[in-house]
Order: sequence, then C-alpha cells, then structure tokens
Amino acid sequence: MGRWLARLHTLNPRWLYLATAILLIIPLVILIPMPRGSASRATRGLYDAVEAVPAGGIVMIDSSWDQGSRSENAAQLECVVRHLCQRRIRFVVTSLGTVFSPEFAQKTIEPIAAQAGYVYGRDWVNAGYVQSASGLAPVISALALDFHTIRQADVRGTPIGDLPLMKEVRTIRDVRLVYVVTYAPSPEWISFITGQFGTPVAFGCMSMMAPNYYTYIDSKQLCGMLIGNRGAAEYEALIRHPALGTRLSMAASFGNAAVILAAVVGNLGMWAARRAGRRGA
Amino acid sequence: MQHADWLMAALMFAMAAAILGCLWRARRGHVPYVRRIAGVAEIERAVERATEMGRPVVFAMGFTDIQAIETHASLLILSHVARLAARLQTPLIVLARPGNVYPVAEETVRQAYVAEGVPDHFDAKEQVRFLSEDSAVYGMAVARLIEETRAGCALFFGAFEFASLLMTEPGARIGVLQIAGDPSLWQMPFFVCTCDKTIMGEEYYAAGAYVSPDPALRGVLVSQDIIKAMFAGLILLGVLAALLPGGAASWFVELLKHYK
Amino acid sequence: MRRRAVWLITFGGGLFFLLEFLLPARTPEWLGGVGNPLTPFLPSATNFLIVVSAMAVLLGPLNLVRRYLGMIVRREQGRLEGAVFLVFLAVSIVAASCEGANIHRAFDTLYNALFYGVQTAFFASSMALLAFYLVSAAHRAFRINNLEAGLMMASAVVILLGQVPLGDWLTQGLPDAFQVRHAAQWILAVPNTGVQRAVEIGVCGGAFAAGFRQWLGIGATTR
Repeated sequence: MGRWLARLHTLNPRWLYLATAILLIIPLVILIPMPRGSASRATRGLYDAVEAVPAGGIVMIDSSWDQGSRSENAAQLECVVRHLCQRRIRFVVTSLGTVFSPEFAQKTIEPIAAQAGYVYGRDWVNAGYVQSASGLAPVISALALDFHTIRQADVRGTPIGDLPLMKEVRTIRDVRLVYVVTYAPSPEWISFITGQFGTPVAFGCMSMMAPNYYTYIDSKQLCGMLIGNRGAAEYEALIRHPALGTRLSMAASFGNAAVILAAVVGNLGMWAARRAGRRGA
Repeated sequence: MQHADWLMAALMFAMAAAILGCLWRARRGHVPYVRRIAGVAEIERAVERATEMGRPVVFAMGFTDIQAIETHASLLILSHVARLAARLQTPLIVLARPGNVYPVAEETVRQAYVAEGVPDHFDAKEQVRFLSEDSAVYGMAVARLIEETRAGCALFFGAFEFASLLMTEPGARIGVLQIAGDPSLWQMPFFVCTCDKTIMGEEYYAAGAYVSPDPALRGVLVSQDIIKAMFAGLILLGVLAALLPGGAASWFVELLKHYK
Repeated sequence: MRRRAVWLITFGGGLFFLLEFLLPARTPEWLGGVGNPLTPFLPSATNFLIVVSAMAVLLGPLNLVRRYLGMIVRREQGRLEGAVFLVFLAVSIVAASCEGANIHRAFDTLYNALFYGVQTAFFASSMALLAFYLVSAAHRAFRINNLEAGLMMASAVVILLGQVPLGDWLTQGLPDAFQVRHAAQWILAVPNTGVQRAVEIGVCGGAFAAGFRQWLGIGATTR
C-alpha cells in the first residue's frame, strides 16, 4: 500500500488531466443542484444599486472583455442586463478594452434584449469600441464630459446623434449607474466617475482579480461587485433566473475540487515516499 | 487625477529628494550595504548552468508596452543577462510581445554584445524574436520554444497577464530552471508554483539597480526604503489621529482637505 | 553626441509631462487665475507618442515573416509550420481588409470563420488549458514541508471551497457564521488585502524611483 501511495508522488500528469477533464464535464452535462448561500455584500450592493435606478433611467455598461475572460464575464454581463430588462432600465454599452469586445457584448446582449422586447436605438445602444491608446484616464474623463465626442457612431455605423437613446445621454450625469465588466477593471473609473461626479460605479471582474478591489468595497467607493461566476450565480439567484453563471459556478466547484484533490494526492505521495525512504534506509 | 494637488506635489518632491540625496551620497563613496536578493543572484548561476549544459537561455519579456516603467526595468535585467550570455558565449533567445518593445529589446541585446566585444556573435533575427501581440499565442509559443530547445534556463521578467501559467508550467514539468520577476501580484501565485525563484513587488525594480555596473545605483535602493518609511509614517500619523478622542485630530484631516 | 541627444529628448519629454501634471489646471485668483500653459499641448504630445509607437508596430511581424521565409528557403525543421503561418497571415489580412467593405459576402464569411471559428476557439482552448495546468502545478508544488506551507495550504483550501457552491454544500449544516464562504471572504478582505496594500506601496515607491532614474538617464541601458 505504502509503495503504491509513494507512486502518487511522481504521478504522470496525464492521469491528473484525465481526472480533471472528467470532473469538469460532469457538471456541464448533468445539472447538479447545490445549495447556494446568501449573496455576498458585494453582489447585493450591485443588485441594490440597480434596484435604485428608476424605470426608464439609463445605465452605462463598459463591456471590455473578449474570449480570454468570456468564461466569467459573459455570465456577469448577462445577469445584469437581464435585471435591467426586467426593470425596464435602458442602457448604453461601450468597450474600452479590445477591438473585439463590442462583438462579444452584442452577441451576449442581443438575445436577452430581444426577449425582453427592447428596441435597439430606443432602449439600448452598443456604442462600440473606444480606443484608449494613451491610457484609460483621458478616455474615461472625456467620456464623462461629452460622450458624443468620444464616439461619433455606434457599432453598426449609425451616427450617435441619430439614435433616440443617445439624444438623452450626453454626459455622465445623464446616467444613474456605471457597470464595468472586464477581466480586471481599472480603478480609474472610480477616480474619474465616482470621485468627480458622484455617479455610482460597480465592477464585474475575474475571481482572481477581486482581492484588488475589496478596499474599494470597504470604503464604499464601489457600490458593488460581481466576483467571477459565483457573483453571477448569486446575482441570478437574486433576480430568480438561474442561467449561465449558476451552471458555470457548478463547474468551478468541480474544478476547485480537482485542485484540492491534486494537492492532497501530491502530499500523500510525498509522505509515503518519505516513509518508504526512511524504511529503506 | 489630472493635475497634482499640494499633497501629491509635496510627496513627489519628498520622494525625489530622497532619491537624489541617496544618489549623491553613493556617488561620494557612501555605497550602502544591500542584502542579497535571492532571485537576482540566481540569474547568474542560471546562465552559468545553461552554459555548462550547452543549452540556450530563454528570456521572455512582459506584456506592457514601451511606455511602461515595468518594461524599462525588464530591459535593465535583459541588458545584464545579455552581457552574461555574450561573455560566456551562451545562446540567448529573447522573446518580446508588444510590437514597440521588440526593436528596443533588439538594440539592448546588440549593445550588450558590443560592450562585451563580440558584436559578430549577435544574430538579431534569431536571438530577438517577436512572437505575437496575443497573450495566449505568446504564452503558448514561449512554452513550446522552451520545450523544443530544452532551454538551460528560462527567465520571465515583466508584467504578465493570465498567460503566466501557460508559459511556465510546461518548463516546470520538464525540469527547466525558471526565474520570474513581476511587480504586480496577480500572477505571482502561479510563478511561485512553477518557478524556482521569484522576484516580486519592489524587488523587481530593485533588481535593475542591483545588477547595474554603476555601484552608485545601489544607493538609490536605500531611497526606496526611505520612501516606504515615509508612507508608513503617514499611515501611522493618520491612525493615531483617528484614534484621538472627540475629533481632536480633525485639524489634521481639515489640513489635508484644504491642500487637496 | 548620440548619447547626449537621447538623454536630452528623454529629459525634455519627461519634464514636459511632469510639469504639466505638477502645475495646476488654473492658478489661484491671487496669482492671476491663468490656465496651465502646457495642457493645450498635451493631446499633441500624446499623439506624437502614438505615432512613434505605431512606427514600430510593423517591425515585429516583419521579423516573423523573415524568419519563417528563411526557414522555408533553407528547408529547416519547422518549415511546414512557417508555411502555414504565412498562408494564414495573408488570408487574414485579406479577410480583415475586405470584411465590412461590401465587396463580397465571401469575405465576411471568411472573416467570421477565421475569427469565431479559429481564433476565438483557440483562445478559449488555451484558457481551458490553464485549468489543467493549475491541477498539475498544485500536485507538484503544494507540498506541506513546514508550518508556513501548511498555513498556506489550509488558507488555499478554505478560499477554494469558499468561492464555489461546493463549500456551501459541505458546510450547509453549520450555523451561518461558521460557513466556509465567510472565512474565505475574511481571508481575502482582511489579511490578503492588507498585504496587497503593503506590497503596492513598496511597488509604487520602486516604480517612482525607477522612473525617476530613467528620466535622469542614470544607469541607462542604451547608449
């Protein structure tokens, strides 16, 4: 038995990869119900901020993710857009990330908006990619002061001024909430939007980036935050619509379990190998 | 913040004064003792080990472009490694991701070879390579290169994104000696798991001064400690002010607000 | 001479941005209430930086093309991959240039196939690789050899379980205050945040010192 355990110390990684693949496929194929704890303070903060926006109010969403962080950001965008549609809140989407971000945002939002009966141009607009070659600060600042100078046309090429919704959105004071969803949102949103104009800002970020932003939650500079798929799953529970976030957080459960099991297996193997070595000596 | 307020300006002047003061003292001969930074000392051993094994040294630069200070710190380390490689005649492969860093990296390595008196040994096309602007492609390409060439050692210096594990895990699995330096903490857990030595936080910026041929730059390292002490003092002052009863320290808070 | 010119440009450029930042947007009334004289030139300076950077953009891809063409001509190992790269490069340039220009629907189809079918799928696959690499890294590196490693392992387990529904399921029988997600939140929000702030302060000091050295040309790598 000891010798068998000692082999775990130098286990071929292929067995680990196979075990991981099996563990990750199971929750994606079989829906496994698991209890979800209450929503965290950060998730509830964003939910309350959206609830505080009156029907017909306008929210700005910066969707700056692409295929790299799609696994977590897509669900974070979906659940919030669904909530906005439920509450008949209109929204403008921008992308300060990569050139591909507007396409991903469009593909994520379109089916939800269509299902809610939202009309493009009147209820929501995808303003497209805003280049930030010289840093985000000047772009965010310019966006806050006059949106129409930053983007002259939307993602379809329609002049911004021709869109009914954009006639009501000129400066940051015309929006009630800014939601930034990307791999690692820049704290400059907080400095330039909340700090200068008082407009609440919320983030949706990858779970490994979240520790960078806890300080802003504590100091209430961020009104809320969705942390990875768990945050999206908690938000879906709050709006009573389990969807992508819930399913992916189940997969994340099994993934994290695989990491813990691998560490346990490695340590078992190490101890068994040490014991075998001591006995041999 | 588009323009500095008085507090910010005062802090900047104080920090600049600390740096210049330490540099002046060092130039007059008072070079302070700087403790050994394990990761930096290991770089020389790693290059020597690669030389003994007859295998190349792979140097992967970070993802920030030429305007970022992380890139310049990385170029300082690259210059040191390139000089070592030129001196020991070890094959060196430098991998750059941002397009505007690639020509600067090439020039840095070229000058290192010229400084060591072996300019003919430098082959720009083969030794300094642009891989891709895409993080995932860059990470995979670095990992493949390390595996294919069976690198003697792999050095990763710069600010990396999620591709850190893509780059370092294959090398760790085949036993390549890997040293990573990243000023941000985001990827540090992955580097610690996969690399033999890591240089994190401010040590990354200190490394450039540590390996510089100018010993006076070690004096500048002391200024970093002075700056940290300054901030620690301000934090302590703020904590004490907040602890004083009944708004007794409100004058301090008002003073800060006034000069904001 | 060249070295002096490089130093002068570096110092002058840095001085411009530093002064623009240090000088207020508008001086107080008792000083005349004049605006910052350097701010109107900031967009031009920033655009100049972008133009200079753009000049270097093509150098990297040119290096790639030269290398792979050389490999094909010299019949070296890896020439097949080089050929595939050059073909895809040419096709992508054509597809991206013609997409959306209403030349022919075929170009739009080609662009979508290359972007959504190939690039996006590849990117998603490489991100998925991270999960597998994380497991093998955990097996190899998470070894409890001493007290510190044990503490790190324990906190890692708490955080891994606290971030996912599995942790809620495992501790569902416990009172709310003892559930693992609260412990995970505490570890992330208190000790972890404190340490991150401390490291950030050091990093900012180091970055300032490094930038200041670079601006003054002390210990420059290029001559």
